[in-house]
Order: sequence, then structure tokens, then C-alpha cells
Amino acid sequence: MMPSEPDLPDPPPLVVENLKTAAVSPVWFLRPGLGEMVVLTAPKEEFLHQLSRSLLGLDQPFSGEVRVFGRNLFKTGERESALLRQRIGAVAVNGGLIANLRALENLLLPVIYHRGMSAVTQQQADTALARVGYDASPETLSGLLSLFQRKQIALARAMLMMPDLLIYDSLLLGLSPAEQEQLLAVTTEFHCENSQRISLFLTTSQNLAARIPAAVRVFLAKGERL
Amino acid sequence: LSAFLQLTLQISTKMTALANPAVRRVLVKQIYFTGFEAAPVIIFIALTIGTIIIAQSLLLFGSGNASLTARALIWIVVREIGPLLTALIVIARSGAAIATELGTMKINGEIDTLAGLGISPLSYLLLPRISGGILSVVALTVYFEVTAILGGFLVASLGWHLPAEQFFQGLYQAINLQQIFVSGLKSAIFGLIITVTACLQGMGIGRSATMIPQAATRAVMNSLLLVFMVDGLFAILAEIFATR
Repeated sequence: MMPSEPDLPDPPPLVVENLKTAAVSPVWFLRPGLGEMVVLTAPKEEFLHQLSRSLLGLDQPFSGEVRVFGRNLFKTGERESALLRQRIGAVAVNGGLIANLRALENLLLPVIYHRGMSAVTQQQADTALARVGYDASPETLSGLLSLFQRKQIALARAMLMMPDLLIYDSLLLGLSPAEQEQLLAVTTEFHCENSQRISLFLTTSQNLAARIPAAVRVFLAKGERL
Repeated sequence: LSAFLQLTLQISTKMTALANPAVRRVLVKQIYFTGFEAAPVIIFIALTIGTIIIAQSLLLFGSGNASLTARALIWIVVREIGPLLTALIVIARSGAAIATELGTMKINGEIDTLAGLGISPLSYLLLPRISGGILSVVALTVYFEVTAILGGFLVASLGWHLPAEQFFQGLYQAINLQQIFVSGLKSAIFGLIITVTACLQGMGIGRSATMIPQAATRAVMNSLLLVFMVDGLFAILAEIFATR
């Protein structure tokens, strides 16, 4: 009988090496540890947006490499990249909802697409909406929601998928102080529920790190190697 | 043309995605917008066309020749006008709408949002629009042909006292399975042309909102051109097979 192969260690969830997202952009290096909350600060919104797109495998980097759960999203097949993206939750700067779908449809879309609908899904959706404090009608078309409500739905949508890696692209931009506190509290609580989960906060705000006591690392990208 | 064939091929490999409940929802919506909401317009136009054809045939053949009138109706409606006029109405209603909707989604970054969620835009957006469009055009063609023939007869029998027995005898003699099959095939191909062209134009939009109306216009014009070309091709093939 052949001896069984020893289990290989899991690859780091996120490795960003020498990444330039455009000709004129900072060079990003990043290797967050399991369970870390990381605040990434850049001088321009545009750099963060480009970084977020590269992390999600939407834009081919100008140079360097991004590996998510050990894989380069640009070198994986469609099926594998879909599986990897299910492990990533993202909240875009504008929420990133589908305008012709209602709030509830937006919330449930990835769950129904990847896992199918069940009675439990509806319960989980109700719980997620309650957690983010969403108080408008779930039947409202997403185009009619305020920025805060769109971000609430996007956050609830990400939470429903129970991701291992969360990317918040300028989460607090355009929100009132009370709304900012509400979202920060939810994201921190959600992060702490899974000791392996990594949360990345991409921001231009210099004081966000101070507002997240659990954030263990702060990167400042100013065009130089970090 | 190569982009058209490429997308058609890609879509055909994704047919299993129609079993996905999220994709099925989009399919149902597409059938509702294209197939159901267009039905009143199709029925009204079909009724008018049926009446016109019968009235012209009666003038040509005389009111005592109801059987020949029925044959002319079948010949014109099932072979030509049914699939073609239905396609033209769907191009005007849905072709432009699909191109505009997809173009707006592209500019708003919604296509990227879907990709970021691990949802294939091809399976979730394009497949149900194309399949729903094909099914809708086929169904609307059936509505059109049935309404044009029966509705046209009802109007003509009231206005010109067309003898029903002779008319239906002519119908039975004129219609056959081959004609129905060719009509169905033609309408399915028209549905494919309209939706694939609209999807290509919508997804081909860059980052400027001014490209949306241009894409909608191109979707309509390219669909019209292709539909007439294919219709002409069908007519030539029918002629070749008939003379053999």
C-alpha cells in the first residue's frame, strides 16, 4: 500500500507582489495573515479602485501579480475563478448593485446563482438585512436606494456568502458619521466571527485605521515600495 | 459575422445554465417582456394583415372562390409575412431594448460586478436573453399566423359573407407540416439573429454613455439587414427545393 501524501499547507489567502495596476500607480505589496483586518491607504481614490479590480481579477495588472488562495485569477479557468470569487466578498464604492433588480433580488443573487434557493436562504437574507440595519423595503429597485442603503445591501450580500476575504472599497465614502459608525461596527463584528477571515479596507482617509482598533496593519501607498 | 458565430457557439455550450434558478428568473422576465407584452401589438397587426390579404384576394379571385382565398392566405402568412413581420416588431421593441439595457449595465460597471461575484455574464445575462428571445419570436409568430388566418376569416365572413366550408377546405389543402416547420425554423433563426445582434452591440459598448444610442441603432439596423438577408435566402432555397 502506498503511503498517503502528507497534507500540503494551505496557500496564503492573498498575496500581492510588486503590483502596479496602471502605468502611473503605486506599487503594492501585501501578504495579510489569517484573521487580519488590514487598512490600505492611498492618496487617490482611483488607485484604490484599480487595486480592488485587480484583486477581484477584473483588470489585468500593469505589472506584478495577485494570487488569491494560491491562484492567479487571470490564469484560472472560468469554473475555478467562479469558485474562488465565491470566497471573496466585495463592497464597491457605490455599492455595486444591479440597477434593474430589487434590493432583495440583489441581496440573494449570488446565493441563488451559486447555491440555489431554500427556505433557509430567505431566513439568512432577513437576518443579514437586520444585521446591517437596512430599514427600507426589500422590494425597492436598487436604483432608487440611497448610497448608504446600497452599501448596506452590498454588505449584506457579501455576508450571505460567508467569504474568507472581504474587500471594502472606500466603504465610508459619502456617508454621514452615524452611517459610518454603523457600517464599521457591522464589518468589525462580522470579521471577528471567523478567525481565518481577512478584511481589507481600501481608503483615502488617513484616520480610518485609528477608528478600527482591531486593524493590525496599516499600509500607506505613496508611490514607493511599502 | 465572426463575432456573431462566436457568441452563438459560446451560448450553445452554456445551455445547461438554464437549469440555474437565477438564470431561469431572467429567462422568464425576458419571455414576459418580449413574448407576452408584445402579444397585443402582434395580434392587432395580424388581424389587420389577415383582413387586408383576404380583401385583396376576394377582389382578385371573386367572392365565390373562398378556397383559393384561403390558399393565398396560408401561402402569404405562413410562408412569408408571419415570421418576417413578427421579427420586425421584435427588432423594434426588444432588439433596441436589449442593446440599451446591456450597454447601460456595462457603463455602470454592473457586468464587472457580476463577474466579481463569480457570476458569468454570458450565462446570467446573454443566455436567457437569447433563449428567451428565440422562444418569444417563435411563440409570437404562432400568434400572428393563427390570428391572421382565423381573425382575417372572421372579419371577411362578416364583411363579405365568405363561405366557411370552402374557406376551411382551402386551408386544409394548402397547409402542410413542412410549411409549419419552415415557418418555425425561420422564426427561431430570426429570434437568434435579433438577440445575438443586440447582445453583441450592448456588450461592445466602451465607457461613454453616448455609445448607448449608437449601439441601439446599430442593433436595429444590423438585425434588419440580417433578417431580410436570411428571409431572401429561405425564399431562394424554397424555390430550389420546389423545382427539384
